[in-house]
Amino acid sequence: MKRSALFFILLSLGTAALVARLYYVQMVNKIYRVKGDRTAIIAMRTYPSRGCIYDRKGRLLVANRNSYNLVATPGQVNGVDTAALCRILGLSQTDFAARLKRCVEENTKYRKSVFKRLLRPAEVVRFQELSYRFPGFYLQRNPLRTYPYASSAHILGHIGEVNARFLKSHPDYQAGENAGISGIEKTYERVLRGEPGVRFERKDVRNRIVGSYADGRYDTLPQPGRDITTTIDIDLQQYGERLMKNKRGSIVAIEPETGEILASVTSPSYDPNLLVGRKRDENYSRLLRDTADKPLLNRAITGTYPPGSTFKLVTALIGEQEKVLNPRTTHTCHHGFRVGKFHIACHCGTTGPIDLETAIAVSCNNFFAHVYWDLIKRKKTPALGLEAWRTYVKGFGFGDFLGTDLSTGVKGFIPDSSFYDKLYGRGRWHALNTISNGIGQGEVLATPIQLANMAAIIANRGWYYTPHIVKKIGGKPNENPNFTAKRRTGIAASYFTPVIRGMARVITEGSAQYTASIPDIALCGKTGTAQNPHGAAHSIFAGFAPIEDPTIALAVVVENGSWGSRWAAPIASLMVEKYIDGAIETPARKAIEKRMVEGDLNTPEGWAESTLKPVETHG
Amino acid sequence: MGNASVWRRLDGWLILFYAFFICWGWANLYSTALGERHAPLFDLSENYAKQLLWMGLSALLILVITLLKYIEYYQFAGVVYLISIALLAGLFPFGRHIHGAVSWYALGPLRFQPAELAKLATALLLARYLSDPSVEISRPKALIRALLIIGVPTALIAAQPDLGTALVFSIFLLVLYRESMPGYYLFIGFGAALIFVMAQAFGATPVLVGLISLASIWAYQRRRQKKNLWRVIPFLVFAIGFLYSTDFIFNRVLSDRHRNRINILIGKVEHTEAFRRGIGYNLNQSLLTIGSGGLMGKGFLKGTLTQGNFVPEQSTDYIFCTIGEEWGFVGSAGLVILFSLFIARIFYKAERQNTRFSRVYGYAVGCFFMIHLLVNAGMALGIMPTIGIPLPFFSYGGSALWGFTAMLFIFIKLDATRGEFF
Repeated sequence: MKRSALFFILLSLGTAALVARLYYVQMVNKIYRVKGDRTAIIAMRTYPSRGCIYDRKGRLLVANRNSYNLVATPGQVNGVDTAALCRILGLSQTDFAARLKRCVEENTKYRKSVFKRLLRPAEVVRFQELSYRFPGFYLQRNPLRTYPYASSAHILGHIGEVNARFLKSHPDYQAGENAGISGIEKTYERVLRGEPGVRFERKDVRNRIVGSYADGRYDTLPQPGRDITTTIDIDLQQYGERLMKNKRGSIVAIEPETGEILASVTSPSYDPNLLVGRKRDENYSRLLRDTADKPLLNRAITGTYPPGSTFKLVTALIGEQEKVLNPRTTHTCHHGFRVGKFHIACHCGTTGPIDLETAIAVSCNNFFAHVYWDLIKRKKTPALGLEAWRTYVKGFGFGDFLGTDLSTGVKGFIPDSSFYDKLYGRGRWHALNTISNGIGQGEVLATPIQLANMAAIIANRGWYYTPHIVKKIGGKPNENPNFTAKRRTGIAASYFTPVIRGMARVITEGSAQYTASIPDIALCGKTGTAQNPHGAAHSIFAGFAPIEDPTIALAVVVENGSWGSRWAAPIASLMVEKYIDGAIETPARKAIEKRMVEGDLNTPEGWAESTLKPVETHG
Repeated sequence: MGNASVWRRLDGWLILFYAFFICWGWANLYSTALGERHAPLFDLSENYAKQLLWMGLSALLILVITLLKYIEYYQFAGVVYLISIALLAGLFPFGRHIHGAVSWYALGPLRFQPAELAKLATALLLARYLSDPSVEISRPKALIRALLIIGVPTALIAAQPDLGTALVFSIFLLVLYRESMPGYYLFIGFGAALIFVMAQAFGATPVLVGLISLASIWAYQRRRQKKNLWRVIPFLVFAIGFLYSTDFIFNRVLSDRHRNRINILIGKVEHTEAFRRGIGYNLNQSLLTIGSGGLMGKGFLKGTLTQGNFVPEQSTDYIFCTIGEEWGFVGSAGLVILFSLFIARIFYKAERQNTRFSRVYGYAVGCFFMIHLLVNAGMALGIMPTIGIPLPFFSYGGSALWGFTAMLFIFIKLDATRGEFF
């Protein structure tokens, strides 16, 4: 056979395959055929309603209400009664022309563009009456979100019209549609959106729709968006928001057994209803411009703080696991940690040797500096010691994204040896240079949710589920393997016992005894006071309750709140009492509640008033 | 010089095909941009108007091509090749990133894709190399040199990364086959591709069983000659080795995009909800659009899905959809058949060349048109993986139009001369 024959054979085979396939697609397969009056069928999308969002007890947090946009296809606008339309919409003739021109610029003459957004109900009704006089104009349903509780803005997030860049990467969306921009609305966009359907309609020469095509045989129904049940307890969430009023900071509460986020408060916050409707853009830019309060910043998951003394718990646990510490180990505090000229002050006030439990209860800097020092010194070089320590710390979820289903997050920071290599030069630093890491004051940075997760880990004695915000999707439990896999820290359960006992003593006899002890609930926790170059120290607390079978673990950060026991600990205790008992009962506790709610740290006068005034004791 | 006689000897059929294709192609571009509403023909912000400009300029290009002499194509093959390689290499520092690849130079509103020039240049240089009577492609040394000529531009294009265009260069293997490259090289290439696809579609074990049984049958039939047994074993070992590295290639060498396209093709991905809105969106829209054309189509400028802009990239990679919808089975099958007659004419002409230079070049041109037709239309119909290469004379784009025009008319010119002035 001549070699040239191969070319003709390949060509014929290829051509035959293409023609056969064309025959199948165009002549045989009915699915692809939309025959009949071919010039007069248009495919219209029908949009399902967006899924609603509920709290863990089934209370409605986000619902829909209807509104309409007026869309126009400029190429079809012929013989419109412009005067009537302008009257209905309250536009001038020049404004009308300008809007039409903008539509052409945005989406060309032949595609639909939004002509006027969010008509008032009266406008809708009058437009519908006279719509035959306005060829080329249509009403498009634009469902709006509404938030009955006006709470949890950062968790729920908001939706907005998709932009050109979004459309490029999401071919199944069309201009004018909404999509989640932040929060749950963003992370669970696919679930909430549902699936648009297609309706084939017949139209006449003038492009007016005259009826459905083939009795709707080829139409597909939209699949409604699925509802989402969050893990939030809206009572607790709103209570937290109340407690944090006029303060900057955040509260994160987690159910330790499941990793479910019970409350995630960030303050200052805003009413989510502001970002809906005609005033949305105006309100959004106002929130964006508020650079003092930064209300759009979610401090609970993107604020990073030095964890302060709360981090001593982690130091203690690693020390026990690595056998540089046991419940009988003692160190004596001489008003601080001294090695040669090196000195860290301590105000624990103890004299004589103290053990781990006591050290936690009194928050002794000296004790934990020693434990950390021993941890780093164990290895041949400080670099190796630091890396071994860092591996454990990362096991607690610090220094990396937690992997929650919230739409943002930051890593925080846990320094590694290369960090100190850059700072001091390779091999030119030693354990003492890093010592403040051990008491949470060095380079260590953590987010409130990471601290709450740490509290959950201690409550669980060594493991956690990745914190998450969605409990059920469309009525079925959230089965994302990310949230159902138990994560372990590498610290044996038995080592938690002395730490937890110490945390209980923090509340009963330590730094937080007057402000944070609850009459009938055994709260365990640790206060922290994070030094802060920008002003007064941050007040921090991490803990859980009750001591047996804990049901809530939480972290509280109050920026510039001075000591941990001043703001964060009482706020945490109130959250716990509210969650477990449902209400604050005794007069003494009510007085603390009142002081917390009314405390104002955002103005200099308020700060002086509520911070410098002596605390009344009820001990 | 007898230039007048050359004018008369330009192949009328090929020119007629060409003129028909670009006119029809332009009409389709007009349709994707517009619809029933008529707009000015010369609005330079619209693709169809720009294409009209490129078409006018390609008339100029054709004039220049026919004025150049046979010998000049021969002489300048090397220079053109070097220029195209330099342009390809220059993309990495100077090219513009578009859709994650550097395939284009951008000068203000003008864009130029040097890969189009590289096709032509590689064909010319390969033709020149093979036209040396002392070169015998059945010898490994000559084969390696020929593969080097092909491989350099291919590698540079693959690195952009533009795997689709790089893949097009594989058709040079067919050209080498015509010029007496031993057939088993083709067999190995084809076999490897088959093993790759089968392994992904059915898993490694069935393919392994198939390979062993095929080899056994082959060896059994030739059992009289002992040496045949020894010949089949290295083949089998190599094939099995390749079989078990397909997963590696599939998962590590190819990116997600390519994997998805192959998975769609071999039916590993079901036509589910996720499929429709994600990785299979283009294909689904494309099939709907073509299928809705039916027997006679909806008529020129009346394709509802075309006008509704339902298919992404419709004026470039998916122009075949417009033809399918507006001209129906009659039009689109007609186009496929006409186009393959056009290609057959090129092959027929190429075979009749009396110099090796113009024969090799002619086969390369025919093969380029063939693979572009089969891959582009096959992709729109879902029987080829999604490889974004243009349909010659139909897809929008100046570089492609010029590239294909130059490629075709150089052949028409070489054919008209038949080496008489050589």
